[in-house]
Amino acid sequence: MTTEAVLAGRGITRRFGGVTAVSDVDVDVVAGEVTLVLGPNGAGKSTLVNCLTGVDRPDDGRVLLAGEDVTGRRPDQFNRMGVVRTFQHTRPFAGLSVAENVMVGAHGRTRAGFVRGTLRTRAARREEAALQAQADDLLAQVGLEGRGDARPTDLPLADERRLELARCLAAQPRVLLLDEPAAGLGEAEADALAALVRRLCAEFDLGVLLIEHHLELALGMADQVVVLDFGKVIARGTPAQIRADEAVRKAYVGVEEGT
Amino acid sequence: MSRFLPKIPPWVSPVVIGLLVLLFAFTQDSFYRLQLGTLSGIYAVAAIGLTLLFGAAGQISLGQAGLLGIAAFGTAYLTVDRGLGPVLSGVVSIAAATVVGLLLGWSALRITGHYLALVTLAFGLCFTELGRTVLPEGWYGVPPLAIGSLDLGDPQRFFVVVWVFVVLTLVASSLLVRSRFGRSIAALRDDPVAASACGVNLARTKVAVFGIASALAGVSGWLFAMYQGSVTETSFSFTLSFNLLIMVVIGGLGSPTGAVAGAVFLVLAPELGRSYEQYRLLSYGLILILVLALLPGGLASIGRLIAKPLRRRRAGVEETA
Repeated sequence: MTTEAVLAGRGITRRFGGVTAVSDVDVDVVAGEVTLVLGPNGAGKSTLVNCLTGVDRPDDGRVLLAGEDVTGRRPDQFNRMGVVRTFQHTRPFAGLSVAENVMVGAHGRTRAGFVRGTLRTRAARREEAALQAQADDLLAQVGLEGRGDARPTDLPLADERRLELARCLAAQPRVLLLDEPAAGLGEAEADALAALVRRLCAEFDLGVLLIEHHLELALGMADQVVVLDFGKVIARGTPAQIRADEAVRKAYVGVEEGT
Repeated sequence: MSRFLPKIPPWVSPVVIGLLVLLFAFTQDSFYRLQLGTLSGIYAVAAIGLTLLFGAAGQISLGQAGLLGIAAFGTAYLTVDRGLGPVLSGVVSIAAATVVGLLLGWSALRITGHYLALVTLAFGLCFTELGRTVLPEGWYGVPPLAIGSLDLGDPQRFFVVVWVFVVLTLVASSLLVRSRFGRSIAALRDDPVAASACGVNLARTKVAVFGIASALAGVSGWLFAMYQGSVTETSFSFTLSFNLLIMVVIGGLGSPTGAVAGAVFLVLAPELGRSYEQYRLLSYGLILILVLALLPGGLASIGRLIAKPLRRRRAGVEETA
């Protein structure tokens, strides 16, 4: 447990009817580090991320942002505080271009309301120009240079995930939560995406929380690991410790044999 | 709104429409045609509001007629019974329609899709019933528009005034859909969960769009009261809400220019086929089906279809040069 966590969950518990999807989970996201949440399907990983981003509300426990209790705030408030996320299934805005998608990502930290935007005041135009420049820049960062005018639904899945990364970065976040970013990707694509996430994490000093069940890929890029099974933490530590952990082996029988 | 469609500069359609209107106003002295032109302009303003609400933001409303009615009744009451001037009455009654629309949007925050359609439908029906029971007589003798001693009420002038409103609304809404706010309502329409995660305050955005659409419905209702000179609740029945929706769909969802085209089309089409009055509803249905089948982008996409080959040709010229 490090003390300098940007985003922290303390005793996060979420029940759905009789099922406790997440039970008393502590998790820390540290600036410039990747925290991996590992676990088999149904272990409560997505529910945990939802609780940490305001999409869902924990029944018990607290969400702390730089020490401040922010439990129960709305997703757009989390965004404005610098906590952004991607979703397990990509969620691009199909009616907007790729560049406009990225510009929506900056919505929370920009200001022009509908009156100023419609009247095109000098401030609104300046903001708009800055947003366009930033969108082009971010698209280049994630390897989507020159695709700004494309339709997001025309992008292959790997590029759609890159687009969502750029959209997240547009908010100039402190914390980035990625819900299975490699799901559905081929090995080479997943490796490239992992390298990109590592680079962005270092470059922007981002605290990254990563959900993944590509075991090797995920362990290779993580600094800290939390392993969930049936909503409970069964292990935590560095990737090396996790590889050696008996409980993790049990939860992942068959997966770890070959590795 | 969308960068991946062939771009037509935003000023093109207001300029073209403005020129057409001037041409029409100064060449037509037929009272009948001017009145039809005025009526399409009046509906166009409300239709632009609805296309922002339904097309751009994905929030359906089947109760726009109620909002028009509030402004129209307000104008009639304030001018006839209270003796206020037409402009001041307009300001007050448009504000009233906007407030009611904001409340409607706020009360509908938690519902979307079919449920939203039903709630707004119920609102519209309530208004009609209220009009029938509380205000059985309606109001007659609404004075024409005048600013001080400047009379804007004769058919030709009023026609121009109405279309000035249309062009202004068109310019404003075209700029609006291209702005930060425009992107946020598109995000709200395409994926509310992701929009929220991007920092879009869903509740505030939704209420704001309802407010904008209601204000435009209000302007439309105010103009209508002065156009008609009398106000009865039958002018604001469900049929009007439905017709506005057809205008917006035929015109091309989310396109302000399309909404104007749809309004003109829906006002003129029945007049052209006046002798086949009994087939009016049938023909609306057929037109709607044909448009959706052959031209899913609506009348507005005709402009883009024309722009596309032009653009390609120009690009080709540049390449070879």
